[in-house]
Amino acid sequence: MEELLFVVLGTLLGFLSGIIPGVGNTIMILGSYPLLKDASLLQMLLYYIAIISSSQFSGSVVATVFGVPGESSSLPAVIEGNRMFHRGVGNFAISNAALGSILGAFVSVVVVYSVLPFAIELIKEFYNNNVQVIILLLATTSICVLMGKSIAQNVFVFAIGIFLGLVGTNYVPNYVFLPQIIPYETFPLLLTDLPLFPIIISLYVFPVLLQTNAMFDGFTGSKKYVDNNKFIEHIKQFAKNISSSLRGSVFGCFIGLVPHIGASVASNLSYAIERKFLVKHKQYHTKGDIKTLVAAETANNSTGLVSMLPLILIGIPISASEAMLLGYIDINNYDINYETTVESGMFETIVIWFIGINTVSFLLAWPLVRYVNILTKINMKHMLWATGLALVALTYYLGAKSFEEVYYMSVLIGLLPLGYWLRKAEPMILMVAFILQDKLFASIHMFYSIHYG
Amino acid sequence: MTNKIKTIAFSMVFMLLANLAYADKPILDVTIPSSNKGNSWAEGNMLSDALKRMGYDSEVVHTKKCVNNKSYMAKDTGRPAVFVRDAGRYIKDESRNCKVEITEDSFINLFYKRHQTMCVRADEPFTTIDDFLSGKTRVTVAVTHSINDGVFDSLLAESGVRFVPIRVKGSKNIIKSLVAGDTDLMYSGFTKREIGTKQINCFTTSASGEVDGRPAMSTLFPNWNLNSSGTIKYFHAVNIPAEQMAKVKADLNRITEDVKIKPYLASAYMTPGSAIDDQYTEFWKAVEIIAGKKVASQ
Repeated sequence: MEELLFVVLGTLLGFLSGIIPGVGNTIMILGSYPLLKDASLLQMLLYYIAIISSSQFSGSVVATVFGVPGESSSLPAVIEGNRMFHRGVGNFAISNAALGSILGAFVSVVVVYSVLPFAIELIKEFYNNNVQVIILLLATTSICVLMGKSIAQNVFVFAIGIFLGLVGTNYVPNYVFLPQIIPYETFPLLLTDLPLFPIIISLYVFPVLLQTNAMFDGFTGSKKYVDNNKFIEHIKQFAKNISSSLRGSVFGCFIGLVPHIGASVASNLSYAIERKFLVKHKQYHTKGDIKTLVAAETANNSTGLVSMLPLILIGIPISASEAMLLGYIDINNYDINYETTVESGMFETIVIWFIGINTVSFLLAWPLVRYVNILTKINMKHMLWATGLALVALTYYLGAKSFEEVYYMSVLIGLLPLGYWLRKAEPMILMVAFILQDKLFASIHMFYSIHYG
Repeated sequence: MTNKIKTIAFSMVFMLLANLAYADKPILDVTIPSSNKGNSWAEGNMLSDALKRMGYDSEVVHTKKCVNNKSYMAKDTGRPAVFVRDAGRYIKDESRNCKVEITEDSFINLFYKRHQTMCVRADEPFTTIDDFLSGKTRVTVAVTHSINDGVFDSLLAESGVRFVPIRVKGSKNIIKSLVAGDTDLMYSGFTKREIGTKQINCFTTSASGEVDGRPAMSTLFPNWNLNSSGTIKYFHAVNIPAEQMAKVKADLNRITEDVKIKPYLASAYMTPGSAIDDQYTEFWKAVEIIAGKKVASQ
């Protein structure tokens, strides 16, 4: 019964995170700390799945109507969906994106169940520290190579994340970082490491809010959303695009496993290939193409469960929101691996809920679309900064709970200038580096000790 | 009307008596300066429950970290407390500038002494340690991250094999490393987990004699300085008034006989503190063996 509460809240907040551009799943997970701090592992995973699934449905609605991407995976919806909206067929863009999303979710369940037994067998047979080092190095290298604008800048941002992660006491190897330089005697709390929550607010939320705020400069949402077509007409339209949707599913399932970029690249690559195919066959509609939109949205959702496999099976996150979730899982001292998720039977429960969440999100999203015009009356910039302020208040509350409110707020304020600079970089890279630093250094140190110690 | 007055009067007397009974209860909280999932959390809660059974008004205060625990100790909360700390943790706290000094006043008594164990994978065709080491010049051993440098140095002279410590965070992960094949051996506390995990074979302990068919480490490695070293935990006093100390000492000395604590200690062959003579000296001996030297407070 408690699981239901987490699913319902996750679904509702996921809708909200899709509706407010820039807030996104990562910030929504972050703001959910009070809810997750005493949750079980199953409740945390269900809550996370509910957020990532339902936000896909509402995110494409906002991208289509407002032409503002909630996340980078919504770009095709911004291009094609918004063009369709302006030529008066935005309702078909939204319905077909939703139908594609739900098809993508179901295809990913089939793919996950097909590969799961082999994946577990491989892990049992071969997964050790050597493999973990390789996976972690691949994951961290790919984030520096594939994201952002400049590899050099990414490496610099990554190094800052690692530096901040090292401050305080490190366990493997066991030492205090730079005791001659960092004033541990004056500020003994620094010995207990920099707290995760204020770091995320200053160095992820703040720059992301600045980036999103800039997107709304000069924004006017004058055109209203209208849907005068019957349900069956939407289904018929989707049936015409089913082959594009299936192609998108295949892309999504494979590319979902690429660290940190899964949903975004799956969506954009699927869109690009479908567009090329249609242009070649002279079928591409320049004023908003529904087939490319459906391919992209299906690919986007079919990454959902697939991209969670590394986290569920070996405890390695491949996206910023997963890294955040892993941070909370670590704080609560849970182990996440195939033993605690699959062999314990938890995974089947997760899959059942995943299907249920996607179905309910789909059924809810459709009737709720008609109320999307209300959003044009809301000042999105105010909404963004209200979210930011709520998270600052949450930081104070969390600090006070462990008698460390001054420490939490000092870290938050002290790092704001760095956060301001990060608005022109990729703040997600810093977050992943900060969260994975412990695991990365421990694995490399262990690797060295085993082979050369 | 008379009945109502009687009821009110009876309730007031009852509340007064209940309050008096509660006020009479001595207070002894248990602070836990570690995470809320490991052995320390379980033991802290178990102790608080046992104290309640002994007639105390006891609550668990989760201070999480040494630094927070220290500032809690400095506060005048009006509630005396204890926390449990082991010799290794004491050394670690000292080295990280979180100094909570141990004196004859703050040291109440020992909680227990737990043995250390050495294990191989269960699928390893292990017969004796000599057979296992034969033909090898180097073996890797999964150990806790906080273990001191040079802990296995003297084993090289004794066995001709270099024991390389591989540091791992958390005792659960020590077992995982061994099972995954990262290391050849593991060296950790002898708890229910080590006894109950089927994928590993714990073939010796640091006890002075045989434990459930496992020979003593001192017979396998007679010259190793840590062959009889175990985990030793003591109760540290937090703002306990001098007049209450004698009772607290006596009660904590017999807490190992509690209905829940006694079987907990027995399940991993731990020695209750009450069975150890000269507990204060015994604790410092353990500190000296683990640290390899005398430490500041000592």
